[in-house]
Amino acid sequence: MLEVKNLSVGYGNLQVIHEVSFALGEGELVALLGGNGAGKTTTLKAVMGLLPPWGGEVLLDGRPIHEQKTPSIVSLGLAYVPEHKSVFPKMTVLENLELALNSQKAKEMKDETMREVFDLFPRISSKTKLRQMAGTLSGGEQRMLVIARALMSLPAYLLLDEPSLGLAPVLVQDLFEAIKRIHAKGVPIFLVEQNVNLTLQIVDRAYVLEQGKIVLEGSGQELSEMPHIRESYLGI
Amino acid sequence: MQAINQGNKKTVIVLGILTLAALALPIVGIPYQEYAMSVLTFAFIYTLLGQSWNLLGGLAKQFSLGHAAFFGLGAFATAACSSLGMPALISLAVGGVAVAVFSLPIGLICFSARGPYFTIITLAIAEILRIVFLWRPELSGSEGILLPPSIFSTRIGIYYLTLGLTAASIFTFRWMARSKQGLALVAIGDDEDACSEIGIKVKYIKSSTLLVSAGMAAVAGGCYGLFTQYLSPNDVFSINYSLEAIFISTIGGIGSAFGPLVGALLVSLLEETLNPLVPGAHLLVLGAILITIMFLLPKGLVTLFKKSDDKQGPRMQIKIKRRQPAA
Repeated sequence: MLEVKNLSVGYGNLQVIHEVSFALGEGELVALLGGNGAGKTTTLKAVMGLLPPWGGEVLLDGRPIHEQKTPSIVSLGLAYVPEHKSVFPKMTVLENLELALNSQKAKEMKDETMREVFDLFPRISSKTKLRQMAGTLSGGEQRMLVIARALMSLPAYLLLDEPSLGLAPVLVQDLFEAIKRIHAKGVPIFLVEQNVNLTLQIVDRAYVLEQGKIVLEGSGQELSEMPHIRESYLGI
Repeated sequence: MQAINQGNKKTVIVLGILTLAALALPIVGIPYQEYAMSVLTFAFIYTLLGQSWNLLGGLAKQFSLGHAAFFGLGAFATAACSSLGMPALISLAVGGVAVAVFSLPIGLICFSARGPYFTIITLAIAEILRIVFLWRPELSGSEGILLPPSIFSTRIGIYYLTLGLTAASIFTFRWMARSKQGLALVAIGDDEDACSEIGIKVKYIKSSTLLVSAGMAAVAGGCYGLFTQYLSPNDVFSINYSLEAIFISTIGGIGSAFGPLVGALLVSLLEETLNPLVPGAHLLVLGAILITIMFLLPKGLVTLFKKSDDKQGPRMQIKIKRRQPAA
């Protein structure tokens, strides 16, 4: 169980996140929704130790992790897929995948995980693709590579930051399909998204973040029926 | 990975011939044999120094401006062990290990924060060591210290020692570059943030590489001491060695296993031919060569010996793969 309690974060003098609390339980697919500048990425960065929290706690199975460095947090089982394309462009697709094998268990399970990942992302797993420089992949393929790389570390929790950002609609469909399949394997996923419509169709629960505060919370079904969501996010 | 060049049959044959020639040089009588041996010995010492810089500078783009610190400290540590009566090879090894240990806190401190700290702190450490060694007579003082003669103070002894160590340094580099650690080092050079995000222990990887790098530079310094049998702080801690390490790797081929060797041979050759004509002239020429190489062969002189498709970066490869759209 990943729990965030009263988390506050900011940059310089400016507080961006105000006492945000949420939880991600075993096997859940939970989303954090919100418009540009709502503070979604900032929240995720604070959970991953990339930004120091101003207050509050992040608990992993009851253990506080908010004072640890990012690599330690990753080794505890949190895998993070940032919003920017963070592939290593001058390395091959295969080398990119191998870079995530940082724990003993991940190394031992390499072949099996690799097979699962290839199954999830057939677009990047042909023999020629694997030997191709990651920088030569299309934007959508790079996004898939980053998710595939996160899976190579055998995460206990997967945190995705706007995976659909800037992708062609057909690729967004593929991507959400892959997210659903990863979720079906039992990996708990915390999904930060702006694509509210598609997200609400696949998630168990969702939180809505506005100006650094959580304003709504509920199941996908509940939220998609709320008038506020329909007006502000779905445009209905 | 661009950093690693692919070996093929031709390369192996050429390298084999060159190695045999290098091995045979002291035995076969040729004109200027002694002279050639001492020029090559210095070239090999420079190769070791350049290779040690190349491990961090070439793979992970962590630029040290003070490898003279490790070079000089290695030289003095080897000298200290020799004067205690230890055999020369053991002194060299002890010097290497001692300096590697010395580098550990430096790495842990410099690599705790991002930014140019490593570059600045290494520069400062070399200078601090130079001043401390000049100041304390029990360390060296301004007169410098003498080393007892050993088998490696003979031309032939030090020639084979440095030749062997150069080969070892090339193998070490290749082995490291191809290991998981090497992959992580190149990734760190590309994007340090992305490395942290996927759980690569950036600080640990950089510090442990610095350990190997410092040890290698120390062994280079030790060889220098064993051969010259005289060390002075103003010489071995001089920024010239730090710069030489960078020049050699950059001219030869940054991030390439054979780069430092190619660079060191060129630098020694220039030094030997131009310095007697006009003192310091080789630096002028080196500067000009460096600028030319930056523009024409950004991956260094080794690119000239590589297969044609290795020369082209990933960008060229896309061009080749892309099909012309039907008109």
